[in-house]
Amino acid sequence: MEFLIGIIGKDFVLVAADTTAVISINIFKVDEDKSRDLNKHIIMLYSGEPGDAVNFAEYIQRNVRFYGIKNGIELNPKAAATFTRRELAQSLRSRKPYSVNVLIAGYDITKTTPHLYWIDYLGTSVEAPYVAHGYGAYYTTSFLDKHHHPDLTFEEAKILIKKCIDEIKHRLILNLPEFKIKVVDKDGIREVVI
Amino acid sequence: MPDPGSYNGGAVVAMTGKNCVAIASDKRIGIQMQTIGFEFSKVFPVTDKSYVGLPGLATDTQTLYANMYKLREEREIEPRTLSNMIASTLYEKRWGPFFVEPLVAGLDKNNQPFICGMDSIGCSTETCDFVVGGTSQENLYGICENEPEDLFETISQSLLCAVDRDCLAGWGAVVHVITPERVITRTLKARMD
Amino acid sequence: MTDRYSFSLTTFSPSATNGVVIATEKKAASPLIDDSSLEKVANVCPNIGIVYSGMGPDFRILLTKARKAAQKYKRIYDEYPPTGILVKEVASVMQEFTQSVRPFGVSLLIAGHDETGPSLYQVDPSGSYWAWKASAMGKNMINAKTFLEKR
Repeated sequence: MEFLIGIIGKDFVLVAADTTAVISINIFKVDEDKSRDLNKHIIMLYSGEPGDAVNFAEYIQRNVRFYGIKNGIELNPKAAATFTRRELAQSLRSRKPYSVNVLIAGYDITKTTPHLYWIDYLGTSVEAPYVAHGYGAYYTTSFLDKHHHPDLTFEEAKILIKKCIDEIKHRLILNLPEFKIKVVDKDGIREVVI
Repeated sequence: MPDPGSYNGGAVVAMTGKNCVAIASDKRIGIQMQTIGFEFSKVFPVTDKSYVGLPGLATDTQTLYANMYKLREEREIEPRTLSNMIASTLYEKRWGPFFVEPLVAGLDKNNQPFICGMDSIGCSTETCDFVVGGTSQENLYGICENEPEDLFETISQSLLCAVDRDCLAGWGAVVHVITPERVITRTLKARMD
Repeated sequence: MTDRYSFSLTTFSPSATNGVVIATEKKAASPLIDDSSLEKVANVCPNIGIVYSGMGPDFRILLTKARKAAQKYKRIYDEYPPTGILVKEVASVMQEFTQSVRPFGVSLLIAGHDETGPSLYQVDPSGSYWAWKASAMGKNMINAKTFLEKR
């Protein structure tokens, strides 16, 4: 029922998540931030079973931050994604697996490249230029197949993500009124208002 | 989740030639009918002359590949030894298997071709001509039985024909031809839809 | 202390027969002992053999561990371990015991044949090991080694 999306541009990653907190048939609030900053240049968006999702996200967040403190060097996006994938894959074969889907978006400051990882609750990790979780993915991936290109500027990306969100509001039966949009680039993580 | 073997889709094929072997896979990854990515090869190098293909559930493909660090021996492992190792690793999880059906392709110390396939619990079959795996298995069998000569052309055409008839696989392919001197890796364009 | 150690002699001939051979003196403490029960040279697996110098009971323990390691390897790879791999395994067991009550009171000569050819290793109680072209250890080892060097 939730929706997460990410788009890689020329030197940044733009991500967005809906902000509805739903339990059963009730909408509890519409300004929930479904993201955690793993470190200065990596953000994780999450969706899934309400308790699991936040717990898992914070578990990953703290471990990634701890790594940075302990070793004096931050994990790069690929390493953070691999770690998250492994945690989910291990959890899958445990007594009570986490049912959490995540997107990991980051900017590799040493290689100066943006990265975007799509990881589902099974622990399948896919790096791709544009990805989405949830029912909204059916609409947005095909839309982005047509309009995405590798040299996307920030302004173009904002327009694209706006169009994706509008499409969801227009076509999807679910009520997702608000979205929180963030960008990760060489300067870190910032919220974007469209 | 219906069948873990066809949840993400994918196809892998390996063939022998004269003093060489080839292994190829498609590059699609999806959730059932929805395509997520198209840079997801299922073939990985293990040594200079041995490759392993891991079609099946993508999370297990990745977990199993990460487990290959077990090969911490200071020697070039033979493809047959490698396949035995993979088989026993899989059988360790007999009652909760990894949903992959690995293929191993390589040249042994005498540069003799070796290919084999196995099921998800490590029951392996060594063949002399070709092995197939993944969602396009049946299609691949059909086409491989009928193909002659030139290894690269044969394996490429077989794979492309097979995945064109399988909606869970395709979207580009990668082919490795392993010869005694070097490994030739080529990526192929396919129908990108 | 060295006097208490029994004698083991090993020779190795890579050029002549392209093989490796180990040998030891079989001397019983008393003529009443049934010498068919003395076992100083042993097989670990079909391609690897061991001879020791030092305390017999300690050797038996190590031999069992080495045999188990070889079988464990075979269960995974469906082939017996290369000599170097088995030596490493045995040496790490011996190293581990240096941190316990007492280390193994034996030195070993491990000879084997694998796809890289014949090889001979010596393993000390400390867990360190070397590859030899030819070696001897135990009682009279100085003489034996000088003899081997001349060959």
